Amino acid sequence: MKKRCGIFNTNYAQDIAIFRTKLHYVSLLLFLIFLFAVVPFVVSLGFLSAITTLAISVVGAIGLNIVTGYCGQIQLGQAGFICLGGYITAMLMHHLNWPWLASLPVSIMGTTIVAFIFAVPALRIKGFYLAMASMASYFVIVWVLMRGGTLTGGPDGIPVPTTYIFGITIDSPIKFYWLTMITTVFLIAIAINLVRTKTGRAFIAVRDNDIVAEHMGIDIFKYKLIAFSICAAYGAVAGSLAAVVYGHIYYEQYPFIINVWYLAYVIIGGMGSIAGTIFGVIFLKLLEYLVVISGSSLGNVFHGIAQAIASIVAIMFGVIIVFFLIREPRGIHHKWDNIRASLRIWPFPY
Amino acid sequence: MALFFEVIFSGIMLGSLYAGMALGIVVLTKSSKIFNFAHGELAVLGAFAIWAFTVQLDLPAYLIPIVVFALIASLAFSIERVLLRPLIGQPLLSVILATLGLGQIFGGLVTLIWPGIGRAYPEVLPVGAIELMGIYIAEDRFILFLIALAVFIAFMVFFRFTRMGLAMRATSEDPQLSQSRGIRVTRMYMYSWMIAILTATIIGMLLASIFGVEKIPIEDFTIKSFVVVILGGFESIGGVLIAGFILGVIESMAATYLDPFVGGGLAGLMPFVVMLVVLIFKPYGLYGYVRIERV
Repeated sequence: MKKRCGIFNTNYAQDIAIFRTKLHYVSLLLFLIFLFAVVPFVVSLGFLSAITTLAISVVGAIGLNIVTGYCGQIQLGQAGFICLGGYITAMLMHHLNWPWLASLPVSIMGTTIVAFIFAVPALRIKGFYLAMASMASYFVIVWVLMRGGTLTGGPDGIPVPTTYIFGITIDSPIKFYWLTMITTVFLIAIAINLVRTKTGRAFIAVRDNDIVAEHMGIDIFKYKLIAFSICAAYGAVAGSLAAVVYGHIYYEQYPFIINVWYLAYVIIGGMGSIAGTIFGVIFLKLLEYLVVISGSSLGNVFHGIAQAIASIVAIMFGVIIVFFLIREPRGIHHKWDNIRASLRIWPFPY
Repeated sequence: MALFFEVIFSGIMLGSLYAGMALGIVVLTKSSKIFNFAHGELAVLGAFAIWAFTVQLDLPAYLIPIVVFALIASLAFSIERVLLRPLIGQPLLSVILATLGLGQIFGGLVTLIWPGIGRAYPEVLPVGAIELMGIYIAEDRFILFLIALAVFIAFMVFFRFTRMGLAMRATSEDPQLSQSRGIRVTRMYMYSWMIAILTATIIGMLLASIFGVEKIPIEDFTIKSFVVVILGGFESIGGVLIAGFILGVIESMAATYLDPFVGGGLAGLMPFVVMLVVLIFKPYGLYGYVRIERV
């Protein structure tokens, strides 16, 4: 927390405050107004739906950041939970004609329970073993969803009907945008508040040194379980949003590589930072978007480049991950802090 | 009864391939404590490169091993220098993600350089069946099984009886201490990457000659080799071989005896069930070292 000269924290409440100065408060308000009232009417529809997918990824990635960035547990199965949450929502909406708002809590509950079942054995171990166990959870979930018969629609998946919230039918890209943004902002607020409570501090203690944390009276198993459940709950919300926005769900939307993408959002953005997660998602998604767009426009000129786009995206993704791990292992958020600090003291170097 | 033995034999042969994949991973974890998620992509890259040298470029036979070794050495060198040396001292997650990113790069390169389908290795393996006490075994698979077994025994001997194998084991145990005893740790890392890429290439070749160059079910094989590594224990080469056999037999038995009841596809789920069970009851695997943690 770098602050302007002359502002000192004199008690703990100030130390953990989200809005330390009036400027923070005003700029956030302005940003939210911009996000909800200006953006949907200014940008093109294609870009609007791109922002919507981006926000959905932010939700999933924040859940992953809580378990990986704050609690220090490697989770390679976030896509499985997102997929499961989406499927539960879609099944309730398709087979039982439930509205989205009613099926969302059931989806969160169901996904959290499944995560719990996998987490109880997985949390006795750590490091590689945990990475493997969470990976196994992804494959088991997808295997079950793949063979769910008419309930999950097999490889074709199931269509998600148009839904309504408080009498408003959610059917246009702008309404999808608002729905996603409201949910995302709400969940970001929850996450920011969560990590400055007792639970959040316990997560950080477990991450920094679990044995010491246990000595200090923190029930590490309990807090790891909580972190995993929160991660799965965020995943479920992301999956439910994706199901509604895309209007159709099938398990091939979530191949294994999505797990890696989510982990990369968290690490490139900055582990243990909610704002960093948002930066990471924006950065990687924009790069992917750029490659796809420039590739498809190049495809009109050079024949055969269209097939190569997927390979180029994969190579770019790998190179960026490796580059960030080597050059900026603390992520974009750290860089952003440095830039802000140097702007504040400009023109002096320190 | 003949069916039972055939199932066991085919399981063992399948398992030897899993174990071969797992061998490269274990060699790396044994010497540098890096779990290589890019191993599957390395195998595919190796299979494609061998295809390019033998079929596409049609190099003379004596030149191929030289070119392959030179490429492997330069790849290992650059991976060690560019990727892993800056990552020394970084948390485990960074290393995991780095190898995942490496896998992405290799996978993308393969589809970028060799797009499309329709590649095949020249037919060198005999097609037929051997009869052994009333059981029929596919001849080509049996030969591949023998090759995998030979590679295994070679590496077991290498790690147990040679000076360099000892140095690698020492590096894994404590890099600082072994450096103070005069072992060049970074050199050891490079050698272990060379070995890993070499085994990946060999297994990639074997898989490509079974399935066809583009049709290697590499995700499947990679994940099963991870299961094998966990079941066998991270540090044990012999354990990996046994674990590979166990997994192969479990899988082919599930496919033969349980699939009719659940409607197929159980062979794909079995590895994960095995993995979760092992992680619950014996997280260090059959022959891994049990680590005691201190603050």
